[in-house]
Amino acid sequence: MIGYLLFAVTFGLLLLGIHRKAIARIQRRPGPPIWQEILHMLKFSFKSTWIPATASDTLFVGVVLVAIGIWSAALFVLLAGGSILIIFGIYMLHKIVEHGFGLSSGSPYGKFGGVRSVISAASEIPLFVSVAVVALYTQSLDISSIIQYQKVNGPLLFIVPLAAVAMYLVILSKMPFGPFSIVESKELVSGYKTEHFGVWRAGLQVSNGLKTYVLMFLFIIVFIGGIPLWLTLAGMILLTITLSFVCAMSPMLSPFDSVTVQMIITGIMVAYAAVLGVFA
Amino acid sequence: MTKKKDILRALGLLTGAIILIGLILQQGGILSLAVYEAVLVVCFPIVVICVFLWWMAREHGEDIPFIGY
Repeated sequence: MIGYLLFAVTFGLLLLGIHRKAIARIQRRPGPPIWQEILHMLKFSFKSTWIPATASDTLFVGVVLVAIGIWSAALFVLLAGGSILIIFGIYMLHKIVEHGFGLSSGSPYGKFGGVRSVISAASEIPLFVSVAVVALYTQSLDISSIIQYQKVNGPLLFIVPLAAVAMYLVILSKMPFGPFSIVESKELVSGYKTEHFGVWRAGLQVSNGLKTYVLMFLFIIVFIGGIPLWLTLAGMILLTITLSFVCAMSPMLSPFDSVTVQMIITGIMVAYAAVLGVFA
Repeated sequence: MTKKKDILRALGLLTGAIILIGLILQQGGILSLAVYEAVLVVCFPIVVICVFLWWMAREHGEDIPFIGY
């Protein structure tokens, strides 16, 4: 299990590297090598590190441990075929973690990043709709039951495509350089993680690798079903590349536009779920 | 500084040992998978940060971040 955890961190970081490389190639730049995010993690871990004078020591360090811990838990829930609601809860916790990152440092950039993290909570509502639609069809929130349903009825991707789109948009909002990535916007330096440098940033990279792996894996399992690991990994790479296309060809929205677009999408998704609820 | 590094190394080794013992017990059927996963959720972040803090370049005096004009 510890081996799988380390594999998930490495593969998740590799996916983020592929994301950067694909964006660069689409924009006709050479881009960094695909293992750049793994190198980043190692580089940050060797750097000189301290805690800023304005920071809350306990929160500043504790939030990094929590970030790694919650996504490790999410991975185990996913592998055990547990409830999708637990992963949904962990996703919500991640929002609090982002907020904690920003507030713990005492820097205005971090604080603004934390505040934007709360604003961007609008992006999580489509996930709720997506979960509701899946539950409507499969009559269960357990991942193992969802896999069983798809064995009999085929992939949910073709049965409820708009629910898949909703979840795709949620993952898009978590990818760097995307139209909804307002928490890491350049006018805030690095947003909520501005003051977390050196070892703390390396820990955050570990958490990011796990988060990326879990979200991509979740999408494949919930909307395509239980397929062999090598096919799942190939699907995750394909999913990453499609996300890279969206990120490369769309500008980062301003915070208010980002929330407005997400709320419109949410409205459409709620209407879709309501229609399905009436006619299903 | 050296003392702090020693503490970090000891903490990293301790949590690493807990993970290893948990793995052996789980493989031996003594510990259930769910308990071992709970051990990993708690210990894995501590091992990662302790190892990183142990091998990092050096520790600097605390700094005041830019807090506005």
